[in-house]
Amino acid sequence: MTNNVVVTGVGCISSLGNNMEATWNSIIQGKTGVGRADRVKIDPEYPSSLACTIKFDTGYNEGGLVNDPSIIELLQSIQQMKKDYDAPDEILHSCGIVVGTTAAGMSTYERFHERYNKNNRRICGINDLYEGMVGSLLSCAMEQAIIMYNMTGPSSTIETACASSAIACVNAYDMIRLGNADVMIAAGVDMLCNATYSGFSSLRLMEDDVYRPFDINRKGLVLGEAASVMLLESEEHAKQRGARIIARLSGCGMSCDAYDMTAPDTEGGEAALSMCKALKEAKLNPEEIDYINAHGTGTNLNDIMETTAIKRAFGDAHRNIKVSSTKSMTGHTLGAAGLLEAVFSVLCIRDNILPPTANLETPDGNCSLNHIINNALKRDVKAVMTNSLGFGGINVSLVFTR
Amino acid sequence: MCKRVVITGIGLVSPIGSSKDTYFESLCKGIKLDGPVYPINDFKASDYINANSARKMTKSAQYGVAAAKMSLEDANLEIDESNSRSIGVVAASTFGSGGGMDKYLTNIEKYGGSKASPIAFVNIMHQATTAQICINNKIQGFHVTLVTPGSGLLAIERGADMIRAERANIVLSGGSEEISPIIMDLGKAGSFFCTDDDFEKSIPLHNKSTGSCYGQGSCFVVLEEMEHAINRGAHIYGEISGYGDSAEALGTLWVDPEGNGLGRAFERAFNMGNVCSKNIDCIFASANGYRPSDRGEIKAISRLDIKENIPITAVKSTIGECFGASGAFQVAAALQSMNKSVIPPIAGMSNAEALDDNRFVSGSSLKINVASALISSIYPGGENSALIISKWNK
Repeated sequence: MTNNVVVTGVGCISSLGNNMEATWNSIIQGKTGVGRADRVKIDPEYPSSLACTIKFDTGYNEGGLVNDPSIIELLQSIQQMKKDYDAPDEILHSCGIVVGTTAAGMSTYERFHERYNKNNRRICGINDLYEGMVGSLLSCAMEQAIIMYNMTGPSSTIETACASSAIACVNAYDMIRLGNADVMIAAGVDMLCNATYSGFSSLRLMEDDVYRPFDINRKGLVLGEAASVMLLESEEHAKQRGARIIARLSGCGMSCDAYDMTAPDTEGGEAALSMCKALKEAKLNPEEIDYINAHGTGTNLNDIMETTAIKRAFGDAHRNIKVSSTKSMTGHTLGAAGLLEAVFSVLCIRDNILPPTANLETPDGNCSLNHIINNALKRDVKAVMTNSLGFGGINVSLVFTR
Repeated sequence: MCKRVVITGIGLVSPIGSSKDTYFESLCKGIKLDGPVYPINDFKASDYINANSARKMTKSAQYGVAAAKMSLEDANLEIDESNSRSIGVVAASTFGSGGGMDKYLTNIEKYGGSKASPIAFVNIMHQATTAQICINNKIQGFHVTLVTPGSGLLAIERGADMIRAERANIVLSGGSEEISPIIMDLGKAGSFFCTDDDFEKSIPLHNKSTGSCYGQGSCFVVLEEMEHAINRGAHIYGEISGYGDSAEALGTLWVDPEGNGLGRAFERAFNMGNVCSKNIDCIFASANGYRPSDRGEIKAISRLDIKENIPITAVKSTIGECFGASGAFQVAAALQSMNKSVIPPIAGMSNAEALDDNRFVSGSSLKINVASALISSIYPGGENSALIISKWNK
């Protein structure tokens, strides 16, 4: 079990741009994608009507029976990665895919469900059948990607709340390390739907003003949409085919609070453990990490807990490690977030630049970290950690190195 | 040198009993249940979960928490501060709580999104069962939920990966599923499932099968790193000797009638090199009575270089199609076949009516020594898996 795993392609689509470079340029400039959540039905009694919504280019999967936004976005982000990083057809044909999502297909399923109720709970015709079947399966986006690129490797879809695509990355990494596969795509995708928006509204976790993780005046999160992909392969395989290596995935850590279905364990012990495990696997000392892309959701409990956990995991070294939450710009993209932020982490190494937390005016004293405030920071970047801390107490940390 | 993975515990809640013994005895009787939907009659959540927690959980989560608890008891494993962080859960749930989601959406359609229930929202997520298993047992390693239709067997493979990658010493792997009317309606409309009028001919690998019956329940097995199991003196049911999986570019509603993707999964499982295909003693098929996938599976099996007249059986005319839980139910049956030297028959099967003139285990159970078994999984959507388990030899 000695295969080294490298990153040879990245791609994403978000509210900040319909391709990765546009998204990344906006992130570096501290721009935010926050607007009105116009893909969902806004109930006037919702505490907020904000979201970071993808400005939609619907051209892609035309002709398909189901044009679910999550399918379209995932396919587009893979297509972009394929083009930007010269991933040949035969590589995608032989590779496997692991997708993390919480609601792929849900907007299609909601459309079907409303008709089903209106028709006295009957399935009426092929459209009902197809939208109901496809939309009821969170794996629908992955299945369309497999068809589009005729993939034949191992495949799975994971739903582990906000850590879904971070775990997809761990699974893909392990499959390569263990020799189950030479090349894997790790991906994340989530688009807004009524179930998600109403659920987060009911939990009273939504920001209704400016999205500002770690700020004293923060009130919660703004939901967002994104698709993100990463081509992972064994170092040997990448070198053999002359692929451009962008970074190395050096270590992963996971842990579980086993505490509550939504609230994190505020002592942060388990989240700290997941960071320590990732450092250990990457064979790095805490002071060797240059930057942490925080989970940083902007909820009161998460930001304090994550701060505590970073301090526990890194000790005094935390004072010199730059930290930011790119969610302040992309919104919280739920199942897509882990991998989207992993893509940003890889881009930090590629471009030697660290993105800021937008709108962070007055850092909360309980979140006293070495924040990058509002402006990106140019510096030599050798090692980056990204955290994903999900509902159900799941914690995942990934370490990328040059 | 990769870690070896053994199985040290089985726990389940099924339509034919909520203990591993009653489950296997019922399978061996070969009695096909009556009706297109297989209910769970002898399950009381309060036997396993405190009333306050159980009230918030969906059926799927209740079944899962109970089955996981039984598997831990069967493995004689107590979780405390000394080991909680080296244990994880990898579980499958294809539809999450289909019924819970149906109610949730109906509620927001009628009354508006602001009337959504936060408790319902959190508990209808697919991952709710897995998270509840961790919370209820203080499991702190990790939890992962797989959601594809064929993710039941995959959960066991990914669980074994976690041990081989040294992320845990012990992983509870399996799945949980509950029946919901809306998913049943979709299944019937798509002709995947039988109806009230033709359920009697819902028989796996039968040439006139009318589709699958609906099952539900949960099954978990305890996967353990071999040395860890030996050191604590655990009973070892068997060893995971190989596995492989493969995608197929088909789409949500289709299967390859030639079973080419499943063939690749078989090849990958045997390529792990621990068991030769000629040494497989029986096959626990994924077959559920939906003829296109049954036919693809048998075609893939027929291309294997295996013993002539190898016994092939399937459990789904006795328990129904349980999606995310099915793979673990197949493994639980195969492990007990290995330990008791008896293979259960396909309930309702007569070999005169077998698919494509094949011969399967039918009528009564078959007494035979099983040293290694192949378990397969093929589903519409093109996700295929194969798992090989063997009697454990140090």
